[in-house]
Amino acid sequence: MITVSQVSKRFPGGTVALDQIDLTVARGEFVSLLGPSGCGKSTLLRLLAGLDTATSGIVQVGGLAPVEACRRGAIGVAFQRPALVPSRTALENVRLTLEIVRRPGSFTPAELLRQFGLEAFGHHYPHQLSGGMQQRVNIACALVHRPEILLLDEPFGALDEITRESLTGWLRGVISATGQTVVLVTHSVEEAVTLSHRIVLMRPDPGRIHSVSEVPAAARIGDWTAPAVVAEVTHLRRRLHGVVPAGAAA
Amino acid sequence: MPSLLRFLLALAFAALLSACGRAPPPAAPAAAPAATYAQTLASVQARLPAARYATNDFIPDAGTPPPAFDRRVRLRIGMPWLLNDEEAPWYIAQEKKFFAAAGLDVELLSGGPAHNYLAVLAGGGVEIGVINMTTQVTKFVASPTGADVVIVAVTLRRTPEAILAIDHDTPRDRRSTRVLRAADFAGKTIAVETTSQYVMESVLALNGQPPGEVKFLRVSTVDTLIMRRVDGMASWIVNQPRLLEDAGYLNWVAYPLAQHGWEGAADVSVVRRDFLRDQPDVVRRYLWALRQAVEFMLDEPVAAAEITSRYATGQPLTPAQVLRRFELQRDLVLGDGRAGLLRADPDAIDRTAAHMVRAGVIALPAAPR
Amino acid sequence: MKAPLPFLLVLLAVPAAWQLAIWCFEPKPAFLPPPAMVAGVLWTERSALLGHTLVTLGEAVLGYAIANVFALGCALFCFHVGGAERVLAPWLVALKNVPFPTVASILVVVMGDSLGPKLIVVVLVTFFPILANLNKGLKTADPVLIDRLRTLHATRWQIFRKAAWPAAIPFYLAAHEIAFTGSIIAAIVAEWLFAQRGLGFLIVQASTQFRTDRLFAVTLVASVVAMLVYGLVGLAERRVLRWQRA
Repeated sequence: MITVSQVSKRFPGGTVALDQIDLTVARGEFVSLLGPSGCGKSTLLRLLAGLDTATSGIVQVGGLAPVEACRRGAIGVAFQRPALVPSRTALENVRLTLEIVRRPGSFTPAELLRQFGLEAFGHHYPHQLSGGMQQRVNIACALVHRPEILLLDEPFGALDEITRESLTGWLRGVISATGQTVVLVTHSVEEAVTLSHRIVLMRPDPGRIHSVSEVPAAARIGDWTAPAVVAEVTHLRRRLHGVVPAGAAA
Repeated sequence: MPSLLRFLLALAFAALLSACGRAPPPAAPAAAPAATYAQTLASVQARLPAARYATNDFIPDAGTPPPAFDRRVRLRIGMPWLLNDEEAPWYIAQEKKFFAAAGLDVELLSGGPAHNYLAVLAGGGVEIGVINMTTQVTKFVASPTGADVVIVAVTLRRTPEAILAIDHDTPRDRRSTRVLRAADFAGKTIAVETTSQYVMESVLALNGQPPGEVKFLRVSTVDTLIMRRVDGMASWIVNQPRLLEDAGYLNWVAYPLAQHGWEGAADVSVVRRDFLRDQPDVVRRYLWALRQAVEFMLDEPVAAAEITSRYATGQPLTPAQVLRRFELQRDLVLGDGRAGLLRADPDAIDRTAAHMVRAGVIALPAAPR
Repeated sequence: MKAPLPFLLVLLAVPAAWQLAIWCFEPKPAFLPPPAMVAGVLWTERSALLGHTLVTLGEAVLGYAIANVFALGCALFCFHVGGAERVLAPWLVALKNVPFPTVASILVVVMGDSLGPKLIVVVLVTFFPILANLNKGLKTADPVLIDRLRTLHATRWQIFRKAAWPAAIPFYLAAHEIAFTGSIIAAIVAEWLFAQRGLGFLIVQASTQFRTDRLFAVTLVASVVAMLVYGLVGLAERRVLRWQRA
């Protein structure tokens, strides 16, 4: 579904954000990009979303260039900060996507909000919603046109720990119902472990893939305190320590 | 956003409505003069007689020796315009020490478009205001928000107002011999100031030209005349023709209002009535100095022009340019003769005031003022 | 409705202070005519005042509508064409700072005493605040939102309509507060310079006739008109931005 081969991204000024990245994501797979700040995970996501172009190498999404995939409405994105229009209600914000992309099989915005447990808040403006609700609306915006691929850039990064945990569980439910291919950028090991099929661990300077690990099915559950989750988180966290450059940890 | 669009549409609609849907209102308040001119004049003489606000009693005769005085007096005089050669007599009175000889320490305050020395005079900011035209004083006295002031002298005894035009049938480098008639302005455009439009309309009407057939445009530079954007221009015969000559147009031609039934006087010395009552000798001393200066201007034009060009800091002028003004204004200063220098004609002021009433420019007070 | 209260206060306080000044200082009516005198003028000359007010209002509103069309067009152009704003800015600033009396006399010579010169003055006065606010407002569009729209392959126009324009609306409305009332002043100044009717003309006429009472009456009318226009903008703002108070 997603193919990244030999992709590098150099910014003007010489910073190498990504260096020779190879990655394949299969249809229906949930892949997390995990790593410390500056490892290029957000840059990689922007390349997938067609918001940036690689300096070299090839990025393909569903066999197409990302921009072309966007044109066909194959991609939905949600960022850490909800991309909502403040003067539109939750429902109108979800509709906004459909005003731009018309695809057969799209969700009905009201129905989607109902599924997201936001039925009562459809006519609320963003500033009237909590951060967690805003993010659910934001993800509804990204999903409503039923794209094949969902790209999430730390969607829960700004939320408190409890909300974050509950939303993670909620997201797993949503994805399993809709069956999208998902690439999630995250700082959070727990999030990555409990959501993903595979976790791509990246390291900075320059941004490279350190390792890729499969997550055992037993760890992809809602309870972050479950032994399988804790074991996998611990395992991953240790590896994460290995990629943080010496002295940068402080 | 659709509501904003609606707002904008409503805005545009309102604009169209108010711009097109309304007949133009009259520019002047409706005076509706049902009375004949003679009746109006009678009302003016009864309710706003110039004899009440214009006096010649303080003007000294020719050859009067310098007046005696016990103490020197400081006098602030508001000038009618920017310091140019219109104020020549006052410069001369300073330079030749006529004011000093009369015991007056005079400060001349520049006038200009933003200055209203009648109001300043009423408020006590100056002791004497030199006002462009007698008509202005009439308006001030007639106004319910005016004040009690008195004309004590006029420097140009005949009005310098004229409709200036360029005779395009005469080459630019030759003087025109053409004589303009009121009918010549039918279908033409005349540049006016707000203060002068009613004057032009009244004079044209007096001379058989319905003012409705003449267009008026509010501009005031002779360039518009040169560019032929207007056919005539309300102006002072002593001033704008000179500008045309300087621009190389000797072929100007004028329709002087004084020769066509419009009576007025210019550069009018005005004082508050209480000042006249309390310090009549100061007014006499001022008028003595002014008379000496005007006589000097008439008798020694070359020396007078040299003094004037030095004092006219508001508008640089060569002595030759000043001399040209003196030449153009000599008859207006003299009026009916040398003996009557500086004297106003209250009857003439009344006759003009009657025209002003009929034009809706002033309203007569209910009771005599 | 809290808004009218302060306005009501103005309507009461100004005449009160005015009358008080008359009693305390007894100024000459040439400087400060008593309120009753001015009220008399307002009443006896009401139809003429109304006629001239409509003329001024017509010029102001029409000129303002044109200024809005230009400013919106310009802002749209700047939004779509990168670098256009930098190229346009010096021209706009130069044009903005041309002194009106100079422009006015040229305009009236070229176009005569028609609607044209007055509209141009109104447009010159009001165009820039609208454009400046629009440009600023369009730039406040949320970059994250724009990124999201780009991933939906939104056109430049869609990005303008869906993201930039909603962000610019509060700025656009704020511009109206300044510029719409400014359009009234601009129309008055234009009339004052060269017209034969309208409130600006009445001001010249009243001052050349030494009618301070009429001058005050016209000033009052102009203030009330400006306040009404301001209120109208406030009303529009409350309507358009009602989501902010939800």
